Amino acid sequence: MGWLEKLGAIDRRIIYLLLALAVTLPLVFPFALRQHVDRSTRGVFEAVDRIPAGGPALLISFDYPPDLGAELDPMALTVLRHCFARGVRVVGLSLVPTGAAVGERIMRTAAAEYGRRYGTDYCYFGYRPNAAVIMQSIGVNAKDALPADNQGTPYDSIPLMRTVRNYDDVALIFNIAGSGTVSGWVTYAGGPFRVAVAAGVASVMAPDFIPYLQTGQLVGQLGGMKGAAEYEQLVADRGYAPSRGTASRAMNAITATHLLVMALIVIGNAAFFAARSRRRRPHPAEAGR
Amino acid sequence: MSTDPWIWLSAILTLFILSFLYRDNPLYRFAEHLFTGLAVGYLVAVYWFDWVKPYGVDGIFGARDWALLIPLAIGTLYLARFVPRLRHLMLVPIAIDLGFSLGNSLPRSFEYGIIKQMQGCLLQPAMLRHPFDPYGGLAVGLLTLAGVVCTISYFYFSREHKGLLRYGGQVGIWFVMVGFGASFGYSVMARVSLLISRVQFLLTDWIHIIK
Repeated sequence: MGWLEKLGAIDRRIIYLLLALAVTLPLVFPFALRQHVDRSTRGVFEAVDRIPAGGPALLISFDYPPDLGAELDPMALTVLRHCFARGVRVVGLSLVPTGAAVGERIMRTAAAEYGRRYGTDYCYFGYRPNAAVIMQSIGVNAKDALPADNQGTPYDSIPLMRTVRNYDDVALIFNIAGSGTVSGWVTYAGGPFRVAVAAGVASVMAPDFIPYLQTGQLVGQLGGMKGAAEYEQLVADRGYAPSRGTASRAMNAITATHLLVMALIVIGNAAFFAARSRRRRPHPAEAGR
Repeated sequence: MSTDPWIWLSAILTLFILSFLYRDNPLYRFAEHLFTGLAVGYLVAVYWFDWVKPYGVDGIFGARDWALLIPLAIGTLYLARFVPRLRHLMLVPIAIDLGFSLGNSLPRSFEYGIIKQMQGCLLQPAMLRHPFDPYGGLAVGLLTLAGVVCTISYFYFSREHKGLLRYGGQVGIWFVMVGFGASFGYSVMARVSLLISRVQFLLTDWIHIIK
């Protein structure tokens, strides 16, 4: 067995160890890595940036479970920082049961950083069952779809909601999704009610929604940690946040691990072809006959 | 190091889960079962407090909206699956649910899914303004159109793949492979992001190596 073949048969635990080092070292010894900002990220940023302070609200839907928080929490935080820094009013909800607590935690965290008050600057409606019905009924009468907030406060008792009747009073829907709810928002809200929709999605789903960008059904999309890091950079560059956030730091580790994965793919392929050519080559004893 | 017992609990359970990378062990299985149990318990509570109670129980017994008894009765038929003789009644709520969902979604999905996406594949005069624009130029338009036609021809099984259909299919499989490659790259980023998040938690909140 040649050295290349031995490398191909390496114990998987050594690969795990290399991966752990590739993740840990860039986090402990960070380096400044600027992101190339994709047009889809810029689309989300500009759509949020165009909303006038105190004007129509941004509707944010936290449609993801906590286990996708690694990618999607930084995304939600940086978009909310952008909103709260500019004085954009935010209405939050979740269309998946496991997203209810996630949304509340993130909205409170971002609002506290900018001193925003619940009820006037933002509010949160928690989990709303039956996604398609909620998406459509907000467009007809938001009060019917969201009768009370997450704490049970009636719709009319929330000062912010007195000015939100339906999608006419919503400047942008931002859907942070770990499942297919982006298609739902496009189909049931963006299309019929002519309201702008943007998405922030987990990396595995990002390619699925690129066709919506091409047709203009999504004004922009943040794809995974990379999208979050790009948005953090835009927010920090414009002075809406003092520094970039966790996604930007994580991109160092992602870059290192991608380099490692690429190297392992090359080594694995080289080992495979070396082993195959060895199997095809006749044994010296057979070749001499 | 952190002095918060909840952080310690989270860190220890994270290490239990990561111990599976070495080999399967009782600590990993304990953390796995605990996670599953907590997730199910949490979901039951959320469904009760955010769905059944406000839309069902409070409506019937609080607002005296007796009409709600009808959907409640239909929904209860799901439980018929536990009674062998009445198991077929479970099909009633399934049929109503499917019928409503399809009736509600079909026209909109057709209009804002299929039609819009077909329009997105067409070549438009506006593409000539910036022919090499990577997002809406003529070059990308032609590539998209070729990709869609060739990919569909690969999955067209009603005729034998000969002549133009064969060549179209062969090109189509390359478009499919490029799509899978993009998805794989994003998938690597997604899985690594999960690991990074846990490592960030261990190094930041638990050990305090990262400030």
